[in-house]
Amino acid sequence: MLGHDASWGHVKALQACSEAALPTKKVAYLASTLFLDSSSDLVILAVNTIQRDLKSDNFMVVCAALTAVCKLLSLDLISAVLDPIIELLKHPKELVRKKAVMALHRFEQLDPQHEGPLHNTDIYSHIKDCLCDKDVSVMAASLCAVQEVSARDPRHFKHLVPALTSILKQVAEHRMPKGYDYHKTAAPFIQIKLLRLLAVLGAGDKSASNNMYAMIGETLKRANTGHTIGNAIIFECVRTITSIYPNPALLHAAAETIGKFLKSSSHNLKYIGIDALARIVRINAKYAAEYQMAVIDCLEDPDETLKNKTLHLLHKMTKPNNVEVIVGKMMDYLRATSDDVQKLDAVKRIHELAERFAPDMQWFLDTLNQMFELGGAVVPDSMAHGVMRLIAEGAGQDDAEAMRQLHVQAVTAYLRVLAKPSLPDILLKVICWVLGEYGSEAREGTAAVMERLAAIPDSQSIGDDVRACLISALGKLGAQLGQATPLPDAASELLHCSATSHDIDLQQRALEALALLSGPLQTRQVALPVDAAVEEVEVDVQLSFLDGHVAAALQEGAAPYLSEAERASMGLVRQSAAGSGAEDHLHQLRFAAYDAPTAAAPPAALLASSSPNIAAASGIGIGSTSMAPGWGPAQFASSAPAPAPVHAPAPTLLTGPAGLLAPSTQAEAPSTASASGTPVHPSPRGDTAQDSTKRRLAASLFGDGPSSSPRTQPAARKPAAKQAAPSNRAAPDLMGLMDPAPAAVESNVPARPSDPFAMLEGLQVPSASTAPAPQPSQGLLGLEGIYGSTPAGPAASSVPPTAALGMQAPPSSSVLDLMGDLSIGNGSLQPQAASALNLQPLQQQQQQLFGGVPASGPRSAGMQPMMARGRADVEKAAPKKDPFADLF
Amino acid sequence: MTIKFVLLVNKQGQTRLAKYTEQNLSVEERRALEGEIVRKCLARADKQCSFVEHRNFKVIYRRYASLFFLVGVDNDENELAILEFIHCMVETLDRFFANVCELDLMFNLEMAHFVVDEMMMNGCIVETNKQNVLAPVQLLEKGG
Repeated sequence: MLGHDASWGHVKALQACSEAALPTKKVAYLASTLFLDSSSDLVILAVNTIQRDLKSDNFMVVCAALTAVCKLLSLDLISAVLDPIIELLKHPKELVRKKAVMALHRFEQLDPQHEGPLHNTDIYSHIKDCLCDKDVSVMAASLCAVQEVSARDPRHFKHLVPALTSILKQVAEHRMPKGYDYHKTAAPFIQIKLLRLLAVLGAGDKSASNNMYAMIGETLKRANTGHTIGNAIIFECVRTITSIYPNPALLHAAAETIGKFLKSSSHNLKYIGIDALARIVRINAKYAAEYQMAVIDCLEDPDETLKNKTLHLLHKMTKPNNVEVIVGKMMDYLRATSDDVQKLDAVKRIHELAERFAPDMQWFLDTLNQMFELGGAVVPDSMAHGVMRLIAEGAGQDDAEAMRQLHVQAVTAYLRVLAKPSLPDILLKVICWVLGEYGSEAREGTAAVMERLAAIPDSQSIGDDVRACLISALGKLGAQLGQATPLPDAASELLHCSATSHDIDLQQRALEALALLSGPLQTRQVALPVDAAVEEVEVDVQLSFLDGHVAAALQEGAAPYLSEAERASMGLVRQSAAGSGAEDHLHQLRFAAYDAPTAAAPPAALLASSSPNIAAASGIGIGSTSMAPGWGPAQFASSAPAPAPVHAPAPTLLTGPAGLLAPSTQAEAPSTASASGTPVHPSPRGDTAQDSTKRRLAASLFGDGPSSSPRTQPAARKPAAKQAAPSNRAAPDLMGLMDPAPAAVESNVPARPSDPFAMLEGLQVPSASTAPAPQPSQGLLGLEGIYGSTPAGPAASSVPPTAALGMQAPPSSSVLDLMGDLSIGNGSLQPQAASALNLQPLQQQQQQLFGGVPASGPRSAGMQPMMARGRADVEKAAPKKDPFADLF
Repeated sequence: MTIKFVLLVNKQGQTRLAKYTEQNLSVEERRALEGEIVRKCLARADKQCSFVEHRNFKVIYRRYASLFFLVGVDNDENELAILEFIHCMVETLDRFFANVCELDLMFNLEMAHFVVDEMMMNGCIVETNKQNVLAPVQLLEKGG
């Protein structure tokens, strides 16, 4: 602010925006808009306040918020305020309507193609409504928006031309409220806006332009008051006249009025006159002749701005017969100016004129050389390349003799230029290239050219890139010297010196040149041919010369190359690439408030409907305090696919070949689980790191979304039975898991307490209550597959290793079937699952487990202390009474 | 046709008010830009025209006693209109502060900003009716 750094206050300013007192709020918004811009990360902190203020009853507050919207919000945040702002377009206060339409104007600037948040909104009709607003200020503001749209695509508002002309008529006839008058001119800024709009709408459209002619002529006449603002309107009229479909009468009138400008003594008017004349000349060049003396006066003027403007005019007036004079004047300007942007502008214009109107090759080359010399660093490389190509290919002449003549000319010219001190880099590069290619045609002979080149480092201060060009040129010339002639001393010294340079490129070039020059003559001539710059070089994009090498490698057992698409279809893409879709979804901002947590929904239901991953995490106590109360749809959305990463590795390890499909991609979740000393916790990161590939893989393997984990048992033991119920649903259905129906049925199924061994027995011998009993070992396997990496509880240690091994042994024949079976027989399998899930799929993990976790029964009572540590809040919500007690 | 910035600078080159509509410049860059422009404008004689081309902007300036009003626009703007807009802005400030001077702007910077904000939004001239411009600002002044 005012040139001082105030970053310490940025957050304070944003904070103060939500103050209730209006003056404070206004000032806070002002400070925020001065400190921050739409690219700042902090802006998001203001969105909520702005949203609230847009709904305020106090119109001053709404105005403050709308002003902030125009300055702070970026494209992503538009959707947060779009609907309320469209509402505000109908606000009773005209001040608010005006600001709202300016906000639309801002959105139009940000999202011109309507691809973003404006996609489904009919902005145009809203803008049009505002144009018909009964208040003049709202109408005037909407003109800005109309202008913004029309400048891009005039079609949307073409039909408004008659309406706009009638508005212009009313304005010009002083029918607007007095307050808009400025120095007795009727609403000049609205007139100017309307004229500018007409210029856009009438451009190249004869019928639309026809409707305007009369009114523009009228405006032009009325504006002739002699005051500056009148002149501003006249200038705007001239701009409009020259931009719409031309009308001779109007053009004549325009030329007459600007004649007065040019003859005026005021520099401002002269400037405007030159600008207007340039516009008219574009349409009809005859008017320029009338004012040539005035133009010459301006050109001689010491005022640099005026001179530059006049050069712009001359640029438009250039013809083959005057190009040399005009380019000469531009060169003078180029020499005088010091501003880089102005220099570049002049360089571009000189280049364009020289290309279009050059009388001959020699002049063109001289002009460009002079331009390189004066323009120096601002000259774009492409122009240098253009010159080189021109010298190499010639300007259309096929005659070999003419080409040779051109080359000799160029070489002579450049050798002459080389004598001057402190040449800009770009010119030196061109010189190096031209002399390198065609130096052998010089009258002085190749060796002499080489000596001149080798002397460059002494006479000019050059950078490494110029030196590299120099080395290449010396290499090329050296190849043409022939076997008998030795390299000139200076050249060979330079080559050897560069061969030990720190610059890799330079070193390589020098070493290559030295190697080639010391080789046999034929090699040199093949590698560095004379005048071959124009020859086409064929590039084998298929790299077919490597085919033999590839075939040999394949025969030796190398894996064939897979394109990225193929890898993606096999789930082999990198995590970041595959997950980007899901992450995009995550990164989209939500502006609607989250659903308020309903008291009726017990956490049990939440747990049951959420993924096992979160359930398990909360069961163990990770982050449950922060997550449980605020769960809304977003959390479900993000947590739903999370089970995939957790579950995927289990089949990988168990099912052998099938698991190969899921290699490195799953590295994150499983590896954290297996690498940590206690392989208990599913990585909390698993929640956020969604991987669509994993999800797809898991779905294809399991044919199923994740079932909820029995680990939630301690939290809500009774509803635990519900958790498995949704397990036979398809993965995408996860969002709808709230359905309590199946749970209600199963929650009554008794869960039997038993010691771990009994439980294992129960697993292996399907109990009577599991009606469509799955094959026991497979059942366990499936469970393990599902819960493999969910946290191991205390129960795990009590399972004998042998049993665990046995369970892992049979290859899963159909995990899919199994899941279905499980979900049906779930009620009775529940306790077993509780213990089975504790088995890690990896043997070593089991060993770790057995070593580390104290033995305890699978009974819920055994888990109680563990929960007590971490999950107080879930605990509270969970039924206080042990539901198992009833069952026992 | 957009206004890129509005600067109020005194003869010593001190910025008194700066408002950028395209805020992609850092504080340092702004300071450099302001310095360059002010030096250029201060060096100009009265007889020269009130427009200066600088980098890719066109700066239109007007001098009132010791204070320079500088408006930077893109290359497709009606220079005379902007010149008059500056005057309109000064008249409005004059009416609000009753004979405005540099000190008024220094000590009521926020009010000056509010006035400019009412007149110009998104780089466009939105309001030149002095009553309309001043009504909300005066309301705020009374309320505060």
